[in-house]
Amino acid sequence: MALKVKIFKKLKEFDLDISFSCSSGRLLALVGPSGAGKTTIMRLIAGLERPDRGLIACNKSIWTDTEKGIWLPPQKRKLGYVFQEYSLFPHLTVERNIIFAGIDSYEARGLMKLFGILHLRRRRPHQLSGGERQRVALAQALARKPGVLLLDEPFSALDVATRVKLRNDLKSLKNQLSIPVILVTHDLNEARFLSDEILPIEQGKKAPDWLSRFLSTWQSEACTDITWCLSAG
Amino acid sequence: MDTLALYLTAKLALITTAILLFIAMPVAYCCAYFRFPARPYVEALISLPLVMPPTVLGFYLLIVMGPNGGIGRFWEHLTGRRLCFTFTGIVLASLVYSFPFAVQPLKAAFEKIDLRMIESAYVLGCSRLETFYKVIIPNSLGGIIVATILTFAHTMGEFGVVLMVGGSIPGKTKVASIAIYEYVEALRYRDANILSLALAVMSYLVLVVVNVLNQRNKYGS
Repeated sequence: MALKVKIFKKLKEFDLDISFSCSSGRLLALVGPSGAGKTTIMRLIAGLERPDRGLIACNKSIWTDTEKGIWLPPQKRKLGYVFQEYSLFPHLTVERNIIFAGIDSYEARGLMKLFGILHLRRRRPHQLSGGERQRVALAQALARKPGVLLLDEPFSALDVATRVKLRNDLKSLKNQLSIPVILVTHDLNEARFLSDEILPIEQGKKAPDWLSRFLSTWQSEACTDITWCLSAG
Repeated sequence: MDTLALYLTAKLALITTAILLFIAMPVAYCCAYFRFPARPYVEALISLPLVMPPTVLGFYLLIVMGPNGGIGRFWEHLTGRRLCFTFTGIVLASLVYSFPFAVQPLKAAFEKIDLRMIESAYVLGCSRLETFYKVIIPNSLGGIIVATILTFAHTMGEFGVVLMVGGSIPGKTKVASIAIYEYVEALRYRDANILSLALAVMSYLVLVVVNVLNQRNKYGS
């Protein structure tokens, strides 16, 4: 299974024009400063927005092909999407949140065990910590039995300790998954630790030079957050 | 005490509230989530009964629901009966009069829901309709309760529109507010007082019931 993306979309500030692919079992990290178009790329893959031109295909299934007039709505794209926050349904318990993705309670139990959240099954999202919430969100995304997993800054709202723990968990999970995983992050440490490939993006386009420029600044080790480094010059 | 007028008032308020919630939900949903060029005009039309004097609204309703009006003629053709000065007529008039009181709180509640939650439901395979009843409705309970209270209370106290469209036929269109007015006109203050008190107690009890339900439905913040 592989994800192929070739998209063009006119945005307010710049044109998003990018192509990449990611094969099964690999994790591609999209890194770049805020407002570079990373989340828009994820939304285009998920079908939450339409590109002006382009092709998005997962394995043999074409999700978007503007030339042929093909566009599948998000409901028909088998993908898991973990948002930064707010993706869980506050009126449902952890178990019902996972079942919501279309699986039965037996399968949900298996997933909850895998993510170590079985003891939280009767709780509602507001009764969970940030880390627990993101574990539930991951379990919910995988409950969809996705062909692609999209992670849009899933750890950015967490404290450092939780972040490191979840990062390790995701690394071992990634090795068990046989689907392409796309991760959006600000954190180059995170990208380097988790990904098989890093795609630097600036103003909606691939920016390999930007990464080398950034990495020279990053050598200082103290600087791991892209936004901070850029503002630091 | 004119229990018949009280019963008629409660019946009118209940029926109007039930029908209005059913109609107002899809309208509020469209106003909250769809962007279309005519939206400001449609929203202004929905809110018009808020600012229009009830007698003016009642007058126009009387014209269109009368035997020579479009709706009145259509109704007569369909059922063989007149629409004005009937209970059905005052229900229809109440629906128009209380419409913004049902739509506005629902629209506000729908707009408050985080778009990412709705998009998350789409990504998890839910259609728009499924997302509406599985995600939007359960997360808008507060707004639904407010819409219910406002519509019910507003219909209970209705006077001008009902008087114009329904007149004052005992057992058919003579609701409590009209009965109170007639008691005062006839200087029967004691009867007016009893009926007014009954109406006030009824309104209070409705609020208590709704608040209790609201407490039970709360799942924390």
